[in-house]
Order: sequence, then C-alpha cells, then structure tokens
Amino acid sequence: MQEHNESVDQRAFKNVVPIAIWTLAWVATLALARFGPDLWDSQPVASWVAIAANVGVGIGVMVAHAGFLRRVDELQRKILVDAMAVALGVGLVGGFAYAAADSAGLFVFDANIAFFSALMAVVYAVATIVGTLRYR
Amino acid sequence: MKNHLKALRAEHDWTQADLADRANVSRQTINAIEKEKFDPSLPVAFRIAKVFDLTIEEVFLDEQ
Repeated sequence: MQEHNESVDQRAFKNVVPIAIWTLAWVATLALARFGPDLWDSQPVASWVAIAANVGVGIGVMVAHAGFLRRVDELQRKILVDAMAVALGVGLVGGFAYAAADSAGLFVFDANIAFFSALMAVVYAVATIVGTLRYR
Repeated sequence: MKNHLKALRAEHDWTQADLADRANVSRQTINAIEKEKFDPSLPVAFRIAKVFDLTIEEVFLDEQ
C-alpha cells in the first residue's frame, strides 16, 4: 500500500535515486572491466571477475528500473515505456542499417558500440521529454 | 474518454493537485484525463470515482 502523506510526484523523484546509484555503479564496473586489464597486466582471472561484476551490477540496473516502472504513476509509466519503445526501435533500426552499410563498404570509419548506447540514451531522453510535453 | 472531472473538481473547489493527492496519482495524470488525452486504468477510475463518492459511470462517459 502506498503512503498518502507525500505526493506521487515526490515519490517518483525518490524512486529515481536507486536507479541513479545502480547506474553509477554499473558505469564504474564498466570502466574497471574496460581499463582494469592495464592495471593488473591483463590477467584473465581478474578480467573475468571485473566483467562478471559489470554484468551482475547491470542486472541490478535492470531490476531497479523494472521496480521503478512498477512504482511510478500509470501515465508516467506509459510515457517511459513509449520512450523505451522508440529508443529500442532506433537502436535496432540504426544498428542493422549501420551493419548493412558497413558490409557494403560505405563507411571509412568503425563505429564503437558506445556510440549506439549513447544514441539510444539520447533518443530515450528526447522521447521522454516529448511524451511529458504531450500529456502536460 | 469524456468525463466530468473538471466540473466535479469545481464543485469541491479542488485544484488538479488536490484531486491527484486524493486519488494517489500525479497532477499530470489528472490533467491528461481531464483533457481526454489519457484513459485511466480501471483501478484509477475507481479511485477517482470513490474520491467523489460516485460510481464510475457518473464520472466517466461511455462513448461507444
């Protein structure tokens, strides 16, 4: 049962905190997995542990996000899920289009996977803002 | 979905935020329902009707 002594908007803001903490932890473990091998002289065991930690914390991010979506107001949930659909679509369409173009030799540079992650994050943020304005 | 939310709020002299707090939804949700941009779920529709001590049919209009 949700408490009524604070507004839904206040609760939504509070609910964002666990996602922010998990995401920061995920970024930290990603940096460790990416740059750690330079520190421990590329020892496979240490690298596997760092990657396992990154995947484990990544699962934590997903669980935190799913919990967040369950707790938010239903209109906010609709806006966020719609934004996720757009971001996923752009990621898939953009990713496959890039792969096809790359296979056809149309690019002279190699795109990094981080580029698509950043693209999806930006699209998600923009779609969330558009959705919020649409129902304002 | 057409509804009487705005008129009912006016009768009680409530703002959208007042109704949102009572129905345990965001102010944005109340605004979107009033403007018929968003159809609430059945539980939210029941909560809103209960706030006004009315039935769902007395708050929301079936257009079909």
